[in-house]
Amino acid sequence: MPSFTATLPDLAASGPALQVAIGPSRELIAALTPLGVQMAAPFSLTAIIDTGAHTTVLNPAAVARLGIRPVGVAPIVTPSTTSPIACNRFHINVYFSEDFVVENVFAIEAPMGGVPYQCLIGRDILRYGTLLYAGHANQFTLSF
Amino acid sequence: MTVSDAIVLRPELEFFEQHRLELLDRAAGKYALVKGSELIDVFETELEAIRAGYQRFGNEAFLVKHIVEADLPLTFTSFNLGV
Repeated sequence: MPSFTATLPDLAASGPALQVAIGPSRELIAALTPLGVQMAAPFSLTAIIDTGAHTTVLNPAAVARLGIRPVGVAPIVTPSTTSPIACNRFHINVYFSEDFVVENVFAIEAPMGGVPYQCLIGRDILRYGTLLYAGHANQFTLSF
Repeated sequence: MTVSDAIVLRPELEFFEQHRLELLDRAAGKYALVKGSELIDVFETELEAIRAGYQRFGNEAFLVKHIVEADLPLTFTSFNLGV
């Protein structure tokens, strides 16, 4: 069972942040490779595990770097919104290591407000795993 | 729902809303694949619709939409998002 543990200087301040890589979905790669079209290789970014997030989120810069186009639109609500806002949806892979990937993730694109990460790992991915938050040890573990 | 200029699938969304009721009549619970103002097909699963969209359009924008009476918003209860 893949398991990812991080010990941070101040987990309460930083939150459960980790490095992941994101890339185009297997479906897109499978469709374009026979046509000789090359897609962006997966690249690393900083993500935070957010149990308050319905689904995984990428900021616009990460989406632009992926070079992929939206496959849908989803309404979202946040503590700051007074009515639902439409966000683009993208079909991606999220790599937690070289040999463990969560495929077919429908991530939404949304700006993030002055935070040092570019991706939220939402409950759509957490549904496959177990999150252990050991606050007293400044450590968390995400297992699948 | 507020739809900003950042949403490139506005024509597809408008088309879907115009045809939502008739799609509900014949394909409730399935997934519609829409490009421009054309319904390409309906599929049993979202992944099948995505696969068909990529195979037909490659890396172009297209809309895959669940055929339901109303779209429930996705909730984000933390303040991580700048919206």
